[in-house]
Amino acid sequence: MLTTTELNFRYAPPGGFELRVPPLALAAGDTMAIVGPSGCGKSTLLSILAGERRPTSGTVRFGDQAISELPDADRRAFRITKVGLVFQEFRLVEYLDVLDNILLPCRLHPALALDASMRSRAIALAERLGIAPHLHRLPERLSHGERQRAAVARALVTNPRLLLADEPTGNLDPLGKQRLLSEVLAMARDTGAIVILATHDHALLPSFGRTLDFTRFEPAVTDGRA
Amino acid sequence: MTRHAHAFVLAWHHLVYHRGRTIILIVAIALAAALPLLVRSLVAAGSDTMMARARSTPLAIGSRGSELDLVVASLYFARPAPRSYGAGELTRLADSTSGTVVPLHLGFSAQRQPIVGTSLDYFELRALRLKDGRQFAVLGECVLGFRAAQRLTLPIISDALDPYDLAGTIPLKLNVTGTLAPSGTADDDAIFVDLKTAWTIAGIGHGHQDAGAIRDPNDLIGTVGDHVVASERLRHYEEITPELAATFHFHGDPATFPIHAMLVWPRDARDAALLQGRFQRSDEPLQIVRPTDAIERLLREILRLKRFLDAIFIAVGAVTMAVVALVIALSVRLRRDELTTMVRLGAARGTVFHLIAAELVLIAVVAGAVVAISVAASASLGGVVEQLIVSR
Repeated sequence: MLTTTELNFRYAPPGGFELRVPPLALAAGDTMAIVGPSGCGKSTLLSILAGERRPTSGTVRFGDQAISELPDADRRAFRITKVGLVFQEFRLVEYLDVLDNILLPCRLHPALALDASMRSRAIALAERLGIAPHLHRLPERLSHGERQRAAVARALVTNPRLLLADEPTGNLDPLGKQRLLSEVLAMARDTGAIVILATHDHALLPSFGRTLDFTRFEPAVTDGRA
Repeated sequence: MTRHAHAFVLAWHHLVYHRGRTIILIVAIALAAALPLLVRSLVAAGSDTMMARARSTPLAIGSRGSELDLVVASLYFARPAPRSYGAGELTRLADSTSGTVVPLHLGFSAQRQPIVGTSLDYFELRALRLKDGRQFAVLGECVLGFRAAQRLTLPIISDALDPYDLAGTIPLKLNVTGTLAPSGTADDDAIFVDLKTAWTIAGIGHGHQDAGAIRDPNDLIGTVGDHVVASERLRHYEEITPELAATFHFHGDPATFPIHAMLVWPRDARDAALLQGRFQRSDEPLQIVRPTDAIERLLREILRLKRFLDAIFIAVGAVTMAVVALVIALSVRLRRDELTTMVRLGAARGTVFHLIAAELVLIAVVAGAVVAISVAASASLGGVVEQLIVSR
């Protein structure tokens, strides 16, 4: 269960930007889209929910843990073990092949073990996402869509309880977007993960249980399809 | 796998991916570290080899002039040969010492290997063993040093003398009778012949071929009275065959035939001191040199140069390290996105530091291995350094 009280985040001057988010409560398997124009704070909210940033005020809780209150080391451990992150520009490591990119989180924190079961899971994810033939290719030799799928596989390899994706379908064609989104949501459903996706593509909203809309700079959460 | 192992795996992948930059860094670090160590190692190896040769040769006698030139020519067979003097000095010296005197005729070569005219005492005093064959016994025979035997191709014919040589001497074909076991000294590169064979190469001794027996008309210019005039085409080199050996003879007084140096193994310190005293007289046309003194002076000069080089190497090393630090700093800046991604994914504290450190360790280990192999290899190059130092 992911719950937040009213969150407030203020960038240090001279940014002047202030983000206010109404209370949220998402249970296992819930999905939520965050929409709004560029610069409205979608990515900032994702980073607060991931424990990368602390809110200026308010609290983020995951289960019985107050994530926003944890020290840095514990928030890193939470992120690597419980959160899967998909970035807008994929952020694959250029010098690692697809398999090593998928397994990268296991090399970054002792809380995750890089064992045979983890390798099997990485290969299974690659097969499901259609990138198994490219496991030993470098990212530079992949198409845009294949890179995106590799980034999704990296986010899911740790079997996260919370999947946060920042405009992951931004550069895909409409058909590709829908197909990738369906696969991600199906995989998250299988594991009971909460999925929160930031996008400015309103065509994707029907796929989500909830929408957090920043369009008018007065965020409001609506249940059901937008 | 431990955290450190993961850092090394990632660092290895990064270094391999940027292999061009990695190789440049390794070469730069290895060069900066290896140059001073290599110079030190090579100078030490060369010094040891040179001093060992000098210590095994108590005294060298030659025409007055540069002591160093006399020593490098008579111990290491470096060219040019010192000014020659009459072989009669050999007899005169034998009367003045109870030690052993060995003459040396220098300056000739075959296929760029030095031809050394000497006596059989040389081999005994230098403790040179035959690997196979036998010693030279008659005119035209030679014994090859170990490396010379590997380098030379048959037939072995002495190199033509000065192209302006008006005496018209003909190169001499040498018959190989034996090969010396390796000694690790300049003897390995030499072709040893008897003094008389050396004088034959010099054109002092010669034989006569029966020109009347020549059948090929191209080999003859014609006849003048009872004399048959042979063409230059007849022979490009001289060969001392058993038939011809009987006709060989030398013109002139043997005491005037040239030698270039005499090596002396005195019987004791008193004998050595007396000899040195004799050659200090101002009317003495020859000089006596203790090779260890000359080589020590040479090595002192080399050490002075090495100290100068060390100062340059320190400066070059400091600049190289600064450039390496700059390259690493720039690399970290260029990798900011990648490293930030790792932190965002939840990398443990210190992961980025471990990653960069692992890369530096890998580069240092490979560079260190290159340096160690180079320095170890250089330790066996004493003979090469010796040749570099004494060659002109």
